[in-house]
Amino acid sequence: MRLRIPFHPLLFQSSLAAGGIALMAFNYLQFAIPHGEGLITLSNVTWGTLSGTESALYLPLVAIMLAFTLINFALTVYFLGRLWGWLRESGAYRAFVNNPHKNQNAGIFAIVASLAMTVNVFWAPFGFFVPQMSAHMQAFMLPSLIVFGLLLGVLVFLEVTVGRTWFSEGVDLTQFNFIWLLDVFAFGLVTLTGSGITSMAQNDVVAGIAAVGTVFALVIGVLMLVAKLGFLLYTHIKARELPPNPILPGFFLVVPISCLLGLGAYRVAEYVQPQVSLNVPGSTSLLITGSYVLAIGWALAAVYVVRDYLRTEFSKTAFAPSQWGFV
Amino acid sequence: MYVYGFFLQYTGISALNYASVYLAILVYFFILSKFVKAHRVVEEKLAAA
Repeated sequence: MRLRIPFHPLLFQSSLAAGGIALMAFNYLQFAIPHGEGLITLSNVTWGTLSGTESALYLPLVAIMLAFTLINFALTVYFLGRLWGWLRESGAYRAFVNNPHKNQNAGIFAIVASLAMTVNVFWAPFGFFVPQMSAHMQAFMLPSLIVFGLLLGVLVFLEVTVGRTWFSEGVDLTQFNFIWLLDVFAFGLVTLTGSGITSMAQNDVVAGIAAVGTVFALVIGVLMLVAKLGFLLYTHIKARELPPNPILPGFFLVVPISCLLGLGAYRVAEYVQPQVSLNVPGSTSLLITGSYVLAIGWALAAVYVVRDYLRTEFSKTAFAPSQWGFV
Repeated sequence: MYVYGFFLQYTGISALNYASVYLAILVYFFILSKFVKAHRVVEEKLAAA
């Protein structure tokens, strides 16, 4: 089947969301089922020893993880094909990235975010089902580092290319909305990828290079989050009205960003502290707890702010790409 | 305090985590159905043109 609608980078949000659901199920099983060190695999789940309730709880999660892993891979392959066609269309990419009005060109970052998510889906939910993959995890660390480097390189290139347009003449920055945070979201997911390599790689060189790249992405992500969030809050409060309906779900983008940057910082701190003989008790826990507290607080505040939209408009309004932000 | 912390950590958060997976799936398919509808409209417009 071929979608007849024109390609738009925000289409990648559907594969991103599918990958997110697969990871959600994986994370639950990772923390709920006792297993050895490292990531949980299907062979770690001894179904015979689980109670009926536990089996009834975990089995659907395994099925969900499998389904959404396949959806993520299928959509990624499909959209990469469409992306290739789009990049070959004369002027299409240039016209898109040169359109900063209402931060529309920020949508380009959904591509990097989705691909970074797919790398994580490959490691975790895919590795869960393929024992050969999880048994030879270390063999995948160097290729993963190369992919991480490519993603980070493309992300920085896009940030410079697109970022320049946001401050060009005639652009009304007060019209910008929370979709503007998509680049920070991409930095968060790339940080997750890099910190994953840092925490898993047994090769010191691979882990060290990944740690440096992760810290670089983390610092840029945090700085941009603070600057952009501050600016957006200022302009939104000053405007004294909510943005149009299709933009409202964008408020929720802060939630995954906070969790991703927090998790990235936690993993890097766990790696760096022993390297520099530093041990600040509770500091790493504080990083991750703080980021999750911020995420939960923001989510509750966002639900409160857009409560009317959620109650009456969301079910009735037409599709808008920003709605994937809810997932 | 201990009981409350225990509940929140091992039952409350765990239940919320578990429920959030299903909530995410519901929202995913709801948005997907909206996308399919929007796509159908585009197809009809293209067919009519």
